[in-house]
Amino acid sequence: MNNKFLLGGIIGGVTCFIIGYLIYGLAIGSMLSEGTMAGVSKPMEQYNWALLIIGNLASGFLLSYILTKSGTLGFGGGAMMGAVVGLLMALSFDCIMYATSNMYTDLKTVIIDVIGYMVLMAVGAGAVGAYLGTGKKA
Amino acid sequence: MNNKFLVAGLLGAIVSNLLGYLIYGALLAGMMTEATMPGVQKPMAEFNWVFLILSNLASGYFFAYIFSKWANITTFNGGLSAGATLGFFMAIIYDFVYYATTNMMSMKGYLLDIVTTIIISAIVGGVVGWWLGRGK
Repeated sequence: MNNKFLLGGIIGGVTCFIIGYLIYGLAIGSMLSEGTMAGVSKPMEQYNWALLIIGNLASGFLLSYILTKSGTLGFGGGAMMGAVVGLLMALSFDCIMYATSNMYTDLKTVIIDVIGYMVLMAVGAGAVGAYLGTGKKA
Repeated sequence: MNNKFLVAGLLGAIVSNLLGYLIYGALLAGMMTEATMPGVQKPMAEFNWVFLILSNLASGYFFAYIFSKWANITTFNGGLSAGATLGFFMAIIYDFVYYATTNMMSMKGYLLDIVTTIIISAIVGGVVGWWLGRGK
C-alpha cells in the first residue's frame, strides 16, 4: 500500500460518486424505481450520505487495488478492466437478488442496472488507471 | 482464455453456491429474514434457480478473471488473501450503498452480510488460486 494506491482510490471514489449520480440519479433513476418493489427505495432526502460516500470510496479502492496489483496503467486499460469487473460484479449481485428476492420486479430492470454499473466501473477504473499512469510510460 | 481459466471459474461458482447455501440458506437464514424488510425475500420454493446459478458463475469468473489475467495469483493462500480483500470491498460497496439508499435491511443484517461475503470470497478465492497454480 503506497500513496499512489491511496490517491488512486480517492480519485476512483470521487469519480464513481459523480458518475453514479449522473447514471443512477439522473439517467436511469426513474426506470430503476419503476422496476423496484414499492417501499424499497428511499427518497433522496432520506439518503445516508456518509455511508453512500464510504460505499463509493470502497469502489475506488477496489479498482485501485486491482489496477495496482496488475500494474494496469492508462485510461483505456483501466476502463477495459473496470468494465469487466463491473459487469461480473453486477451480474453476481443483481442475478442473486432477482433469483431470491422480490426487489426487482422485472428482468428489464436487472439488465439496465447491470449496464449502468458496468459503465460506472469502467469510467471509475479509467480515471484510476489514468492517474496511476501519470509520469509513466503505458 | 484457456481450460484452466474455464475450470477455475466453474470451481469458484460451485464453491460459492455451496457456501452460499450453507451460510445464507441454513446458518444465517433466520437472522437475515428478521433483518430484511417484509415481502422482499422469496421463499426457497420460489427461487429462480437459473439466475441463482448465473450469479454464482459470475462470482466464480470474477475471481478467475482477476487472478489469471491481472494479478497472477496461483496459490491457495494468495487467493485466500486476495479473495478476502476483494470480498471486503465488494461487500462495503453494495451493503453501504443499499443501506444508504434503500429500506431493504437493518444495519445488523448488512454487517452480517459483510462478514459472510468476506468469508465466502476468501474461500472461493483460495480454491480458484489453488486451481490456477496446479501443475506449476
